Amino acid sequence: MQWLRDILDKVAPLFEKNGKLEILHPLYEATDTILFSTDEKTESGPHIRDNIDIKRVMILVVVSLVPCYIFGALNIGYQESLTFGLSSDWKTNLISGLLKIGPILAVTFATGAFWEVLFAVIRKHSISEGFLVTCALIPLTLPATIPLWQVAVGTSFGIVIGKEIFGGVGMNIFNPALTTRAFLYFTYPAQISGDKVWAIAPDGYSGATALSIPAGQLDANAVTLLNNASINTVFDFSWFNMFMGWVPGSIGETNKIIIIFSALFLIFTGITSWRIMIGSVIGLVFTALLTNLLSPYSSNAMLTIPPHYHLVMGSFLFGTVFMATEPVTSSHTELGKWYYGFFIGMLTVIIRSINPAYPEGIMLAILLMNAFAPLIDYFVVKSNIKKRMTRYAQ
Amino acid sequence: MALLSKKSKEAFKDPLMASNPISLQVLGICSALAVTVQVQTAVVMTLAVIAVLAASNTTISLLRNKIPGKVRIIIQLSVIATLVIVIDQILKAYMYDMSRQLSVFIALIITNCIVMGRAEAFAMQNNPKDSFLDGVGNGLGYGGILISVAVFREFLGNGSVYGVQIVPETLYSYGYENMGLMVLAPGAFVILGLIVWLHRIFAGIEAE
Amino acid sequence: MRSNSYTLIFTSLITIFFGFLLSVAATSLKPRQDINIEIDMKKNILGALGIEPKNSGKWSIDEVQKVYKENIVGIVLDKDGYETDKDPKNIDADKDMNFFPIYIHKTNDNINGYVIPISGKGLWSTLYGYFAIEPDCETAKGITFYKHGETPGLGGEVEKKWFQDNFKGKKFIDGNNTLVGIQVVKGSVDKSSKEAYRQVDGISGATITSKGLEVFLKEDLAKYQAYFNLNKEAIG
Repeated sequence: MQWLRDILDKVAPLFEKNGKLEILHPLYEATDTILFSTDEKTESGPHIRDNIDIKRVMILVVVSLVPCYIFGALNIGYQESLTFGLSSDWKTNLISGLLKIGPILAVTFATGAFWEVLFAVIRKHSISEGFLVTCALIPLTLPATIPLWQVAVGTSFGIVIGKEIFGGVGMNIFNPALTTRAFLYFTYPAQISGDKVWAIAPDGYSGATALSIPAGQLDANAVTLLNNASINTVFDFSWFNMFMGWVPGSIGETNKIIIIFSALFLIFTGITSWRIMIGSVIGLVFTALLTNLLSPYSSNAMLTIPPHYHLVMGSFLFGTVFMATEPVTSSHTELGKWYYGFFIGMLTVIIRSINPAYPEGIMLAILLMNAFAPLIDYFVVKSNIKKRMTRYAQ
Repeated sequence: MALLSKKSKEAFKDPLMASNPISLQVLGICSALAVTVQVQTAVVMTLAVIAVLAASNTTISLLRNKIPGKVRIIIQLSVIATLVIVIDQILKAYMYDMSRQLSVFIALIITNCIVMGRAEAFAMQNNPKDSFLDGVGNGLGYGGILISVAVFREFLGNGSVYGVQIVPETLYSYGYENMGLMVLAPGAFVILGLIVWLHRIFAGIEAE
Repeated sequence: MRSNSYTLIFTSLITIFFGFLLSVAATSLKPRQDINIEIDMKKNILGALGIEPKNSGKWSIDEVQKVYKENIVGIVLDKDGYETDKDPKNIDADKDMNFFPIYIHKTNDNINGYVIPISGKGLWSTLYGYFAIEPDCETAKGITFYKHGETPGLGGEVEKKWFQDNFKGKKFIDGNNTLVGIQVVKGSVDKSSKEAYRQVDGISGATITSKGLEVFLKEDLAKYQAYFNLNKEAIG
């Protein structure tokens, strides 16, 4: 590796102050620090109190996303062969899936890098690798059928409005990847909601997600509806199959096993907070049980979804593991993380059940709790201070 | 403009940029969100606000030495309310479709902070000519932002500006879509936020 | 500090003056406003019947009045389907549960169709519109919506031509003369289906709006069934 170090050191003066390429200093520094460890200390959030720096953290998160991409590709190919009635092996599935994901990924990274470099140059700070994680997350939250130009518009919105406007990495209120998705969701609803977009299919084919099957239905049991759909359509909405992820959905969210393993990996490497994850699962199960209890008093079919179905339907696990735990936008206090997680799980079920226009609630739940995270922290800190005051007063 | 003293000029020019009611004082936001889906509604709203502001400022300035201090807010309010209702009635009679689109927002000019604010802060202390100019200036400052927001929203949300289709049909056939978000209220927040951001950068104003 | 009596006199004068101004404005503009409301309603009724202005542009007030007068007769029905002597102008079609306005499209005593007001809940808002019916009293002739607050691009598609044209020629009565309503299906209508005669293509991503429309259309049609049955008997 010494030759690489030598090259970098050789060109370094060009990018230093008064060098010819001074304006591109952020680019040089990014290349340097991605390749080689640095001795600089972190100066602003997110603070990881460990011997690894932000860059290493970001890279580990990206690594944990790779299996999601691979399974996503497999599933895209599989759903396509289902709807077209073709038989295909995993290799062709993988290749056709990668051909769909590849361009989306490329567009996301190109757009993300463009804005990041632009703002780094204008604001004269170093390029932050945060955008790598954001850009790696964005495609996983989208349907494979999304037009590429919409990906570019959405990513621009997520990076500029979601992050740069607030001052860049560590300053944002809302998760930029989810901001991107929320923007696309409300801006181009025809391409990211409804039942046409979740599987690549012949014209006029309906590829509903598991959650949109009971959405808006009256006087019916959600599980029965899902079983009926398994019989009447080419898709299989049994619990186990949804757990295994062979159902229509966004690219990265369908396989729950992979997400659980990624979660364990992230927890054991100490990167993300297990409190938030456990808290939101508790919130989801608790609220789902509550809606089950209330379901006899209402005709809404969404209220009859049992908790273990809620867990495997839609993007709840994906959102909880990769989005809710983002260190900048979640609660920072340990107790606060429990509350923050719990409310995400609770709001997810409430949005899913109550409003038939939004069969999936995790995106809005996380964004909403992003806004409340500082408030939760405030109360936790305040109650701690109060407790100590009373302790010392005695 | 030798006719106007320096003060009159300031009364007219200040609210256009340096102390713009929307982007710097952040007044009158709710109507700015509601009527900016189309440029046409924004233009009519602007005209209505300019008319109300100019007329109410002039009237109150004329009465300023007669109005008893104790009841001045009520008097101001009754002047403004009367003017707003008259304008609402005129719109209903002569621009029916427009008045349906603007619905309650014309009537809500009564509660627009800019109108009351200018009456209390400017017209009560200044002569009718300056007050009139101040009213027109504030109306234009308000309308300028309103119309810029509307231009972006209508262009991005409907592909047209002032009802004229700008985005060509062929682009739609290649898969272009209008931005649905821009037609919704949050779209106005985003555009307004960006305009305030840019305005403050160019006016050289840091966060207070 | 001014005296209380000054304050009192001043406010009274102001009140009287502005009150006077307001009443002058209101009364002098009232006739024009009423005409506007009337023209707007007439335009919508003509629109539901598919009657377009002559020079393919906009309706002028005179043209609307003329075309409407020549073609449309508005009457009010009671619960049993009999004509009453009430004026449709005085009936609030969305609230009145006893009297129902109906507009008959007549040219030289030939009945060309009927128009009924429809309204009901979609996803976010109440939709208001008119529904036109062929003279056979069981086939849809057209539908328009003049007011709604549904999401543009999703539920908002109800105001689009492709969706409204969908309804033309669909029946809301089955073979046994029972009201079955018009069904808005998910996706497009399966032409081979037995039910296709009463189904229209749905709006993708707007299930709730479609469902709502289906329900309130049937409810509103039910109010007029007595009248339609009487008509059918009269024709034989």
